[in-house]
Amino acid sequence: MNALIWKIACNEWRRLWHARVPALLMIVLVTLWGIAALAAHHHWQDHAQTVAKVTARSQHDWQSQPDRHPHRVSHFGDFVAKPVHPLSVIEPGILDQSGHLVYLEAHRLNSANFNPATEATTLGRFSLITPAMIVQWWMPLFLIMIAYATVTADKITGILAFMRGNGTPGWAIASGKWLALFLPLLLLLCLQALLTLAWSWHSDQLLARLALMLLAQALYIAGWCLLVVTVSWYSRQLHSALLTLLLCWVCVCIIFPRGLANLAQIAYPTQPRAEAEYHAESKLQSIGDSHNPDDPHFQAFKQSILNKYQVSRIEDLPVNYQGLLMQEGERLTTAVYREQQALHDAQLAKQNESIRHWLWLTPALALQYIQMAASGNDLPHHQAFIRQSEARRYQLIQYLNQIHTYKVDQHDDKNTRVSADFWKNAPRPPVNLPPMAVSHASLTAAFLVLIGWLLLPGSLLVRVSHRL
Amino acid sequence: MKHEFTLLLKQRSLTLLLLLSLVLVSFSLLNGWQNIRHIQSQIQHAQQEETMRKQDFIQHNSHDGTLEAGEVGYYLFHNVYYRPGEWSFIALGNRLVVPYVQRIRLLGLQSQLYDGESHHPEYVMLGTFDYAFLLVFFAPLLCIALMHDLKANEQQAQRLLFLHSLVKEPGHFWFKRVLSRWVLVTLVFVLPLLLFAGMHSLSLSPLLQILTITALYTFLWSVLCSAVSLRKRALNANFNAMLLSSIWVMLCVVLPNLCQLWLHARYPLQDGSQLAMQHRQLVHGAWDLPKEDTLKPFYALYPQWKDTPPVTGRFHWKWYFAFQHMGDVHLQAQVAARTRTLQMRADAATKMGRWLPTVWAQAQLEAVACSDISHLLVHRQQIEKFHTRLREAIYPFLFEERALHRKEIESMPVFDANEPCTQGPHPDGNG
Repeated sequence: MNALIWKIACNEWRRLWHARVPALLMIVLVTLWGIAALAAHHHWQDHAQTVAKVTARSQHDWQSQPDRHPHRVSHFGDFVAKPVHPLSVIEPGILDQSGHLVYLEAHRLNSANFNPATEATTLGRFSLITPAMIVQWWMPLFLIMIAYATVTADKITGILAFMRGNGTPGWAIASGKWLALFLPLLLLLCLQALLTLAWSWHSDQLLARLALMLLAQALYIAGWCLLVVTVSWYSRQLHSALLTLLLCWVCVCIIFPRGLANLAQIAYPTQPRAEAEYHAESKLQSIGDSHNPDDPHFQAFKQSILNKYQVSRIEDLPVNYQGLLMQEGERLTTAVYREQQALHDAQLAKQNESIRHWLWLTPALALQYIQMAASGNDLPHHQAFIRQSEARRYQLIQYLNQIHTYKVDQHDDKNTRVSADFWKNAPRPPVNLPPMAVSHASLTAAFLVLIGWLLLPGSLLVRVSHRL
Repeated sequence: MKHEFTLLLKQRSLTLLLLLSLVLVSFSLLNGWQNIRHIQSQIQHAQQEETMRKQDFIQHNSHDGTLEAGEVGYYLFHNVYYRPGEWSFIALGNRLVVPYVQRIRLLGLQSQLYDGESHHPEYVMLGTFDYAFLLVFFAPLLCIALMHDLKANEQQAQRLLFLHSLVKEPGHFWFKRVLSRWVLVTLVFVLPLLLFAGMHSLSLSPLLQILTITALYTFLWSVLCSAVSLRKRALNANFNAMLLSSIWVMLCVVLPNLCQLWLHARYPLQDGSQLAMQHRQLVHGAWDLPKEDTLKPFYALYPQWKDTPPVTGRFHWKWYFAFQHMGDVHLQAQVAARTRTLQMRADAATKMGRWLPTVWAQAQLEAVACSDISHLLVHRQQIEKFHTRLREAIYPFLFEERALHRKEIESMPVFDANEPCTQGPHPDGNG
């Protein structure tokens, strides 16, 4: 039976070859892919250079600090750039929209700033052409154009009836046609994956990420091939097959993704940042004011410190009380800011959830979620970056506060300068790309949708191909 | 003509397609409107809160009815608004990324100017679903669907020869066919727009502009489609469809992308992060310098404060704010160069619109909607001006070491929130 399927597939290829147009379209597709790779590489390089520059400069600035008071250092702060995975060449995701630099300083949690999207010209409103987009948008489109006639033409010329009359089972015809469409595209996908593998060899978590991406792309394209064969089998006229398929394409690839995201934004709007910041600040005021000696919270704190060291006045403490106060203050502000951050994350999660409910409408978006997750450019990866940099901030500031506590004489606090060696050895753990598991929720949902995307046209095809 | 319309609308699939498009256009208008409404309500809310918060601040920080100028400069935030215009819902442009409410205080401006908004980045990445998007991307597809098989359709039904023998002037006949289809496509876009403008009684001249852009853009695609499908040998509908959709791909995706690549290579832009890091170095480095190093150049710029009481102690607010400001002053040339580059990019993009109809339509709509980069630059200029006014309002108290009274804080400048979206000096007018 396998031989039969092969024969049908080979016949299909022969026909496509003789029709010329499909071969031409393939060439165009590969050219497009080349342009996309060029553009995406340029885009990636821009980002990678920015990240490298920022990291080098921030390291240099940090290390070349003179002897200072530790609290001055904690206000000097540190810059962290978001790491970019080489797979971003395939799918840059939210690279342009999320901001790529966080300023870490005492008593404040800053947002990631500098997103190029803000300063994009009108040209920026046209979707960026990337290899991921080629797979997501253009492969299906070209596939439709190449193959919308695949069964309908056989129907019109009577070949289909002839074959069925000769005892060729419908499912063999269907799988032969499907194979004929799917194999060349799968080859292209594998080629892309191989080239990427060679190009980004040795980068972090490469194999798992690339494999997942390839799997999702293969599923997605397989689904489109099934859909094309199915619609073609149902249609009686060539133009109705083309029109139906194009309509599906426009909805799945262009209209639904944007529409869904917009609906989610309208249904669950996020709180503006200015507002969130204000709320955090007013909450901080209500918690306690470390500058106010009568503040109940800090009164109690002072008492507990005095008890701990068994002295009656802060002047008698063996350590610097100001430093202790800073540590306590930082602990409190951090808690408030993190709570605010969690609130914001919850808002975004709610939007994501509402999109995921309707994700089955658009496998293109499902594929995009997987590609973004695999290339480390989706929202969970960004949030993980924010969390990591926030952890680094807290660790760094508390380290500086400890130096303040133990190395700065409290009787001459303001005039003390502490050796620069302390900053040089400060804990500034590098910010790494998180494991792919951070985006497991969107990955699961997206893969379910892709499997459904195979099952739905598949079952329709089985039904229609049994018809005599 | 009437006959043509009847023929067209009798085809069920066509009517369905047109109805679907009508729904989509209406939805895009609603969606844009909702987005802008949300922005407006947030701005309004922030405006109401602002006065209350200032009162709170005064209450909290006043000592014996007066406030210290330095503390006011450091702790008191002022809102700035990126206010959308009446027609901004047509093309949301950069409005989704640029924060619509920002808080500014007297510290160095460069460290505050680039704060991001807390939007959902994936949502912004997917792009907006507004009228401009539908017009630029979807209208051509509609034209292609309606007009790719003008001749081929008749040929397939074996009516072509018959038709040509019947009509006296084939040119006239085909013209009517194309015209009726163009009118239908344009109506799909225009009707919801008119209805919407009527419902919300929006102003007329932008509406006319948008109508003109829409009509011209759809007309251009109709001409293109009919040129392809009325060629002498245009008897293969599938070939026409493929040719036209390749043109669509080129104009809507490939060429804008290539232009963007060229633009970025031609006008390289210094990343904002470099500015931020330099600013930090300038501002925080000043703590370690002798106060003279900051104050001397500062007084050279602002001689009116030269003879105010000198800074003798370890710390004084006037020295602090002077070095904050000097950070901005040192970066001025770089910031100006950046702004120039951005403006040049915007100009070049508009010029490209002369050759690319898709870019032209998008740019024109964004100009009407006040949501392109030129408006962002104007907005940033306004923030800068506001920051300057703020400094000028507080400096007398700061440098002459006078305390502020409640009344004086209440009369401090407020960001001119009522400024309507100005139809900025668009470099290329109407192309």
